[in-house]
Amino acid sequence: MRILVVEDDEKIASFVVKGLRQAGFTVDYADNGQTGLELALASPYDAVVMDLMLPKLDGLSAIEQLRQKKVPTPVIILSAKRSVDDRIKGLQTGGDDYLIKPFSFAELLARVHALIRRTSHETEPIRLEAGDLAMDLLTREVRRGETKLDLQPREFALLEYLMRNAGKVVSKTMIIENVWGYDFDPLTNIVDVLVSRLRQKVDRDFEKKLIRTHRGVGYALKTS
Amino acid sequence: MRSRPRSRFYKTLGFRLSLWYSAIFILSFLTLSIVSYLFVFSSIEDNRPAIAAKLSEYATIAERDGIQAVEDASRTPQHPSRRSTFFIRVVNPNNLTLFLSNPPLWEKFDLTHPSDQMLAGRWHYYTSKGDGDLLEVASARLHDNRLLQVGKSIQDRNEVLEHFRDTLLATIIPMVIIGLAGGSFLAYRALRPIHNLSLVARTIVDTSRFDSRVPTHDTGGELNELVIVFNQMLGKIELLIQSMKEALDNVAHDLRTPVTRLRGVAEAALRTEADGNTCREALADCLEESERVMTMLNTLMDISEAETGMMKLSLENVNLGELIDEVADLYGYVGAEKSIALSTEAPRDIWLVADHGRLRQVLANLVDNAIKYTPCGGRVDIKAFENGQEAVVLVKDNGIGITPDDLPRIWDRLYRGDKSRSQRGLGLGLSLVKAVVQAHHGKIEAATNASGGSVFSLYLPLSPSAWSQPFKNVIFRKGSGND
Repeated sequence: MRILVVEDDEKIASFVVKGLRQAGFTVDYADNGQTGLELALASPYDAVVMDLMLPKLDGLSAIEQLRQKKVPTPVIILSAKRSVDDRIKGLQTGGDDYLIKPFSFAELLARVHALIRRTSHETEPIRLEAGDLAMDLLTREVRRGETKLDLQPREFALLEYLMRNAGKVVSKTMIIENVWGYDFDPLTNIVDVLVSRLRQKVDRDFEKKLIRTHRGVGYALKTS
Repeated sequence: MRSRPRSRFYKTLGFRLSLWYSAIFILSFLTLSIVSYLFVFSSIEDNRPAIAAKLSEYATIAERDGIQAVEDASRTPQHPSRRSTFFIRVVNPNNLTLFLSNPPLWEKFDLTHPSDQMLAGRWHYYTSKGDGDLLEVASARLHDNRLLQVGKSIQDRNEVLEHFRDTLLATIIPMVIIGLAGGSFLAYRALRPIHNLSLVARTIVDTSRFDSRVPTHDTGGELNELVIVFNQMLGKIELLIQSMKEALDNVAHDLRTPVTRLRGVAEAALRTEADGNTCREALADCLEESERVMTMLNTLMDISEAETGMMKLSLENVNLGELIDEVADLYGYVGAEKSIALSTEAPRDIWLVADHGRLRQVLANLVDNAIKYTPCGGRVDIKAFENGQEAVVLVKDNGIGITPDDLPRIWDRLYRGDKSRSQRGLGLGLSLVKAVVQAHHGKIEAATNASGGSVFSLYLPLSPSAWSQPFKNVIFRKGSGND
């Protein structure tokens, strides 16, 4: 898996590149829009992580040119601009996802994975498994080992999301986006409450706790 | 140096204005003079009918009663003047004057003429020897071949015309002066508001102080209108700058506490010979704290934007009932966690024009707040109804309520009632709620229930037409999907 990171801030670029390499990606790096565009045009990547405010050529223009040349590589936009308008503009220009700075690396990683999965046209599974958890997406039956778990719809949606991203940390923002379909943080602890409810059903009666809290980042489902 | 061209332009405009005014004024004066001169000229010139009438009168007298009768009839009693007196002469065929009335009056005229010019029935002019006066004469041939001449000096006409001309010429110079002065005065008066305006604008540009205003006059008129609007604009800008400054101060102040905590945690971890676990713990603390700083910064920016009217609202038709159920669903588990019964009573036919996301944020914050301050086993009721041009949402709980001391302060930033210090939260929720509601031209009130607990009443205009002010920073979005 090859990823191109286009980011002019050295520190941000270094932790993103390092993190992605640790996660097993092959990473190329450009510190300006022009070089970034040339690299993206020259060789196929699985995903591009693109800052917007870049020297020489700004991120939006680079994405625009990329799309004009019919390069379909999925692009995640990194931006300090957080207004709905900017977000819409970014996505309309051809970005596939939009991440607002400051962001947690775990969230970036999860979004990169999700994006690659979305664009690689994997066949939709009908069954998810993580550790001794098993979820049947058709019958909506969830089992841990031999025990059948009785989940309410939101709990089911959260567990499904965690299992699809098993082993990876997902942020509260991502959970709100994917479980409720909202793109805002309602300044509340609704995610914590939902997670704690899910924990009671998934983990309380079992020795091995599967749902882990990553403080300040989010939650993850252990795979083993 | 930059003010030079502007003041020159102003002068040019003023100069041109006064020039135009003067030109039009003088031109109309001249036209009027010429017209009246011509009118006077033509009306005075008409001596001929009088002369002709006199001629036929004397001719009749002469034919009937002889020349002596003419002489008698033409005798002027006293102080004859050329202006009022007719020239009457009878000439025989040999060109000898038989009779001349008031001879001294006519002696300056050369009354001789060749015999072949003894032309009856025609107008004839005798010229004066000295002053260019003309004697206008009509002649009639009497039956005995004598010639009767009746005439009148045109001196009177010339005198009147000359006098008139002199008067006109004498008034032209004052008129030109009055025209120029009037023009300049008019230009000065007309351009004074603009001049004042540019002075004030220049002062503001030079000093960056927005507290000067252009003096207004109660004269009405477009320029005064412009000045008033200009002043209003200055007021608006001043207010905006003021509130932005305040917002910046607030943000800086509010961020100090979490950043201090962040720093403290990191410093403490570095100071001690901490093991890996303690360090991880500290780093996690830092992460959480930085997360909080970010959320806070975003919320503070939202509040500031909403308060200063800079918040962009994506307006669309929102079904209030659906939105309330959505929020209730969002908080269902949170309520259930504390065994709080969350009930909604919202008809699905209330539609209003609002920013869907922002309104959801408002309702979410109110419900969040209600659940937070309601002890386990309590209840939170959300009720919505239409009242005239308004939609009303009541969020009622039977929790700890709000003390009268706290009541006016709950909308302040970072204010949390003492009892709720232990409660999680930034203390920004209600400030944001109020700011967003006001950006929607709505109103929000808080009160303590008679039965304890608190009730928040939210009033929102149903449609933009009910909005008291025109839209600002508003994007209309077609359709009504989620954002």
